[in-house]
Amino acid sequence: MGKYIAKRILSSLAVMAIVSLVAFAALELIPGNAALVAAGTEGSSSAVASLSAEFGLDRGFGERLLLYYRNILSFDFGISSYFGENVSTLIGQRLGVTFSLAFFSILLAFIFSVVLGSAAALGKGRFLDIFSRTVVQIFSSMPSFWLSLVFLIIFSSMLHLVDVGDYVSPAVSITGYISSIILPVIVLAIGETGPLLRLVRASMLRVRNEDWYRIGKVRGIPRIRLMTAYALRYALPGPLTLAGSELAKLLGGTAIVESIFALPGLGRLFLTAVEMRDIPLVGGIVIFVSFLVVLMNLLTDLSLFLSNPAMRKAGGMGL
Amino acid sequence: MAELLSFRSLYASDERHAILAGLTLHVDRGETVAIVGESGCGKTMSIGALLDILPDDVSITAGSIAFDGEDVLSCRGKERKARLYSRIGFVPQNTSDSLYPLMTVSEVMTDAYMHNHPDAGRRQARERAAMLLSSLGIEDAGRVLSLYPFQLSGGMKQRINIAAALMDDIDLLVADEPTSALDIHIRRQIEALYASLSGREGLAMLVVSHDLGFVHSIADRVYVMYAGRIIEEGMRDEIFSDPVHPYTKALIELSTMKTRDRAHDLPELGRLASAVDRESPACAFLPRCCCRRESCAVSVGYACLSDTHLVRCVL
Repeated sequence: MGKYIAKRILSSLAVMAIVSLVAFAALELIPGNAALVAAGTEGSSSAVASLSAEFGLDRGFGERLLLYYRNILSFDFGISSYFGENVSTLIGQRLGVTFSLAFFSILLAFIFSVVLGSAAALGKGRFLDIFSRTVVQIFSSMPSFWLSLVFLIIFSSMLHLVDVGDYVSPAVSITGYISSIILPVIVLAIGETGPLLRLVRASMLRVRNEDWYRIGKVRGIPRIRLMTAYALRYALPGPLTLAGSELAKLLGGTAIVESIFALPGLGRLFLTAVEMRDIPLVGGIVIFVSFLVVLMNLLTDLSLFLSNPAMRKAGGMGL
Repeated sequence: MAELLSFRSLYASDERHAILAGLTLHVDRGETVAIVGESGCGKTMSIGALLDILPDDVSITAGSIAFDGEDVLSCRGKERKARLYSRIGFVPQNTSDSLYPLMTVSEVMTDAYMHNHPDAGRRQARERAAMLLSSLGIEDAGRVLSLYPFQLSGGMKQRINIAAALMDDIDLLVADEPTSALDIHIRRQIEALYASLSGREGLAMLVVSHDLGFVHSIADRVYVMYAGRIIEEGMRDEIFSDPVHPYTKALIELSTMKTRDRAHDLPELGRLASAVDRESPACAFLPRCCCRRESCAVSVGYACLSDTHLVRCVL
């Protein structure tokens, strides 16, 4: 078991190393550099040379690459040329907002999909099943930017139920925090519900035909226990894997929703960085989000591995 | 002997075909009854009807099933139904997939028992499971209880399924193709196990199988099923020594032949029994019968050869 976990962690580290190398190469290849951007269009050549020396851009490729990896290991992504602050600090300030949006939207979508998907599979062909398939179709066909605008108009402008534009930290006020993220969380959750619901329904339909499920019924295991302790436990690895990868994807993919709801998250920070050609910030966010994606996938794999006795005993063979 | 289980003119169908076409049979207390027939004749569906595990698209359209005087099909209420089913043990055909893969043998065996006996603790349930495993010839039952299904051999899974079915004090053990997909060595062990179970006082068994050698070794009475109905029934020796229906004769002959001879001598039995019109009043075996008469196409009646030996044929 330990061997598998070590192998999985090592492979994730290798992926992170490759991803950061690709990010480094991409930042090297784009025209201009951090010193040119920081000096501005009016900057003298001596100012550019001085900034290049400060940022280490005057060194050779190999030396720059080593410096880049050393900085990454110490979570030092440099200084943002636009904000003039440490990139790690900027990311840290915005991460909470994006993580809240991604985590709660996936949680909401997952709970809704599990409840409705299981009920739909149990009553295949009946009202709930038809309803769930309709929900999948409708939810899958609504783009998040359009839904965000509709929600803003209905819940903020017309009904005045939530205030938009003032993000409140949970440390300040829990109700204010909930009020500031609830609409974007619902919008993102709706986008995630379609594929999750479809997968839960399909997984539960397969479970219903498993011999152990039918025998559990015959042996008198109560339906609720059969559904939760047996069927869901067996059927959930697929949807959980999807939820894990979708969560990782959302950590780097909430820019549009954050912009519409004026939330100070990573996505919005990234848009600003691109717009201002803030190369250290763009690089820092790309690497940080990539690492989060790899980390989320690693955590999903490990939790599935640890929850499955057959995989645990087999040491992850076949994974 | 008092009647424990009875099927009365049971009809079942899916969206297109009839599956059971007037199935009538009974099992008395303490006796071992076998239903034999080709794949697709409706054997497993008859068990599905009894245990309420029919596929989604199959429904019962007429008839009744009674267990110890209680109508199974109209049994309402979760508790009442659970009480009824706690007296019936079931060993499925595919024992590889019948044990929940994410639980240990102990959890699989004790979970249902603890729900059916709320006053029994986990320890008591585990002790009963260990005792049953030992009684079925499993050495080191304590270790086996802590294993997961993927760590067990095919024969071991069979025994554990039987033990799990016996956890409650059951009156009827239903087994679906107990010897299918087993190698000859394990098959003999399982055969001996069922033979010993058939001698248990008060325990009736309903075994569905196309393995006539196995049926001959354990059954008291045999029903021969074809196209969703019984075409011949009798005591074991009446069926095996003195079969009357051409289908029964062919089945027995087929079971005693070597594999290489079968394709040449009885090609017609290779066709699926499900291909016939099960609702027709004519003899369902007519298209494949070597001794058919004109009257067989109109209707077919029963002939009583003894108190226990009945055949649905005019020959």
